[in-house]
Amino acid sequence: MSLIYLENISFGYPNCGLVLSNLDFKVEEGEKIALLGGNGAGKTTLFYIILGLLSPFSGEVELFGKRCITEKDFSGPRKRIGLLFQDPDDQLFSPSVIEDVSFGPLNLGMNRKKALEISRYWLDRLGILHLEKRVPYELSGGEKKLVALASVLSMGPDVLLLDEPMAGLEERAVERFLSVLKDESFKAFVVITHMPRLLEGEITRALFLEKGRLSPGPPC
Amino acid sequence: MTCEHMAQGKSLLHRADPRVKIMVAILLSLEVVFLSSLISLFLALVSAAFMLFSTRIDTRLLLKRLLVVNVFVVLLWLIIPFSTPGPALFTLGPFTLTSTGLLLCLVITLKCNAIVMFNMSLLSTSTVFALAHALDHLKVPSVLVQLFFFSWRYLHVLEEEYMRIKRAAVLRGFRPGTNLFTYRTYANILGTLFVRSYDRGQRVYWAMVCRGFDGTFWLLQHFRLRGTDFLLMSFTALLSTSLLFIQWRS
Amino acid sequence: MHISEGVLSIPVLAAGAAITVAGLAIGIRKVPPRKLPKVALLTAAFFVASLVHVPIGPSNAHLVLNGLLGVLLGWAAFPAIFIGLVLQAVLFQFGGLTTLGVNTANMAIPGVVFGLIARRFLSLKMPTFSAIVAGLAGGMSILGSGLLVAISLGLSGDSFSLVSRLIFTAHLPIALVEAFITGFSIRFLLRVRPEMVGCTSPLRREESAKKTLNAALVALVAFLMIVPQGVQAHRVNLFAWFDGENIVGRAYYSNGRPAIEAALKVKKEGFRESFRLKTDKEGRFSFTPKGPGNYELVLEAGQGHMAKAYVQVKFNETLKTGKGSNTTQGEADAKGSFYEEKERPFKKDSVIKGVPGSIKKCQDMEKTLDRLLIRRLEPIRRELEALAVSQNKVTLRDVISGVGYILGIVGIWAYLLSRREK
Repeated sequence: MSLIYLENISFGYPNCGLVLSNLDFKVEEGEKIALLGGNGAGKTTLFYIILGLLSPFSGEVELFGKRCITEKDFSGPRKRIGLLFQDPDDQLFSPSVIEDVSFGPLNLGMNRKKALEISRYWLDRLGILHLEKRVPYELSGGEKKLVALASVLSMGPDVLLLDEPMAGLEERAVERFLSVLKDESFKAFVVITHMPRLLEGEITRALFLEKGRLSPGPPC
Repeated sequence: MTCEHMAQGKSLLHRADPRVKIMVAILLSLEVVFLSSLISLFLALVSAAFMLFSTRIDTRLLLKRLLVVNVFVVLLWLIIPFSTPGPALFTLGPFTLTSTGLLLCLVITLKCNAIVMFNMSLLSTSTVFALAHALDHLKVPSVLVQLFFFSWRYLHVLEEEYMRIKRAAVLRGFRPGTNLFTYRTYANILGTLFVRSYDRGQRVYWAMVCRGFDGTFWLLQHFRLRGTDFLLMSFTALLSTSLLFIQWRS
Repeated sequence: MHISEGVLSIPVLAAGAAITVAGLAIGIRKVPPRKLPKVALLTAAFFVASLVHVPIGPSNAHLVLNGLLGVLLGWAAFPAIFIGLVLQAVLFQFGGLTTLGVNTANMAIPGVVFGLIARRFLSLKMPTFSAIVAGLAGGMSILGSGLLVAISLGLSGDSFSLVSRLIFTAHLPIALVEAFITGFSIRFLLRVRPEMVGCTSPLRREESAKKTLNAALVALVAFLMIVPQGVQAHRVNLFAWFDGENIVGRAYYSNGRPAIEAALKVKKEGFRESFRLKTDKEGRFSFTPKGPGNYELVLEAGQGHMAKAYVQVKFNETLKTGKGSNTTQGEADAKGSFYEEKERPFKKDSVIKGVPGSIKKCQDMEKTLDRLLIRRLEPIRRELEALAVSQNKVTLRDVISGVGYILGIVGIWAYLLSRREK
């Protein structure tokens, strides 16, 4: 069983033609994939389609071995696939960092105490526990990115989809991020990046998105 | 952005429970609207000023805000004493100054300033987030609270975005004037801002859905009433009964 | 334009609050969780836009954009504007809690009404036409707001009539600028992101049925907006009575202001000819009727304002014979200015001569008594008149606040219903 299985996907925006055309994409357990491609190639769009946020013109989406068509089909898998947005401002909206990180756990039905515990664990893991009481929109770009990452990790996802997680991070923050990727037992992850070299050794394969299709990318 | 300046501070009113502050602000504002005797209005103004003073907010900022509020009041002072029928005090050409008009202006000025001062000392001393939490606890419809809170959250992001677009336009030689080109440029800048906001709104919703959002907001914080709040409540009770008493006697 | 705290009267504030509660209840129902962030983001965008100052001649004005909000958000513009005002009250202390209702209603009603109307005409195929329609909606929304502000002030007391006229005039240039900005913005959005204006899919049948319903609602709201205006503008009241010697009276508009120098046409029943006179500065008039009978008075206050009154003149037998032109003249002088309007031909006709001495004394006394009585009764009559005027005003206000209360109750009901649906 593949964790994520996309078949024959086509999608486009009005006035733009097709962004993805007859694309196939598969993620197996244990795979660590880097997704490369030029600006506007459709990498972020691909993530949105995987999670059912955009519906493709044609093709099928299968998550954890189940075909997903309606909004309801996607709501289960969404809890197991963590998506880190490119702009952390899209993701953070709560009055304090700790509330933002515990938003996901609370939605999963955890009680307040447990949610706080988990949130604190991930903030500590990413080295930003001191930001706990701060207001998210007042943080720097890099700090926001880490908080957003913590807010995804606190839901305990099996699969991670990360949209440019390292853009704007300082060196130490990148190290901490990589150590999380290495040590935690995710079943799989897909990383959109423009800096594949930073991920050297952490990934099993690279894919290149161009003209609406995926091809094996340059080896890292 | 010149925003929550007044919310920073450690005075009694800053520390009070925002739920209590909101209720007190509503009660006192409504009461002032109903008052008509000058003595009770003076008392209201003095106590509002006292509350405002107790917040220890920078006096210059307070005066600046009050000045803006009173622009409309000054306009009224220039017109209403002459346009109100009543016993004439003196006549100047075609204009007759009446005592009824003067009295009306005085009442309006007192009411306006008293309400705004109550508002400043009670509401502006809380952060918007604290107010949103409090409104949620006060059973205001959840959609309204969420709208309030989201708008505030993204205000800064959008303002920065607007400034970026505007700066780029100015750097390319845009000089605003009274002409169609200016208006069209502003319309395009605003249009861009709206499109970006719309898209961002879409992504924010997606991000929430991805984290299991199903329409319910769970609250992490709870408020607890403390000594300060009981002090504020008893002060309010005393003030409002004495205002009513004076009004009733006169 | 914000109305400051402490200015408006309590019925106006209550009506505004009630209308806003209704609008919010409807608006909230139009915002499902899916759309909430979008509406919030647009609210924030409009808040930012309202901080933008656009030059007009030597001065500048900040944008309101309630028309554009109405076009983009429809009913959801109500909560959006409400929240914008709450934020302004908390952050900048513009306005406060008690005027929140009136100010929201004044801005949101025209925005929603004209926005919903304009939305029916927007189409991708005709971008210029759509832009013009949207521009008109933008301009009209500002004018509508100005009008509502003026009405709110006008209903709060006669003292504000001049202020409200000034404020309405100040809205005119802003309306022009807003029209341009709204029109251009819609053209931009049609080109860049047509789905924001609701222009992607062709109308399905049920949707168009829904739209018709919407249009009916809009028409109703527009009607409610215009009716009180009409009542206020087009009613003039005429009060007339016979005081034993003269027909006297007063003409005033339904807002209590006197009808100054209005033309009055007088006709006696059974006679062809009529004559005209004018009311004085207080809207009063007086003339001596020509013999007993029924008189028809028609007031023409210009711009189609008309009122009619009928007065029956019955002379007391003795009084009638004792009537003389000199005493009538003296009476007029004694009573001062508001009896000054006299029609000469009638006076000449009313002269009756030749009354024997002994009876004359008795008649004189009776006449003096009559006159005294009239003078004593005069203040009471005036008070009654004033009461009638104020009664009239109260009714008008009551109508408006009554409509507001009904809307408010409907709103609360709608809100409860929406809760149950959840």
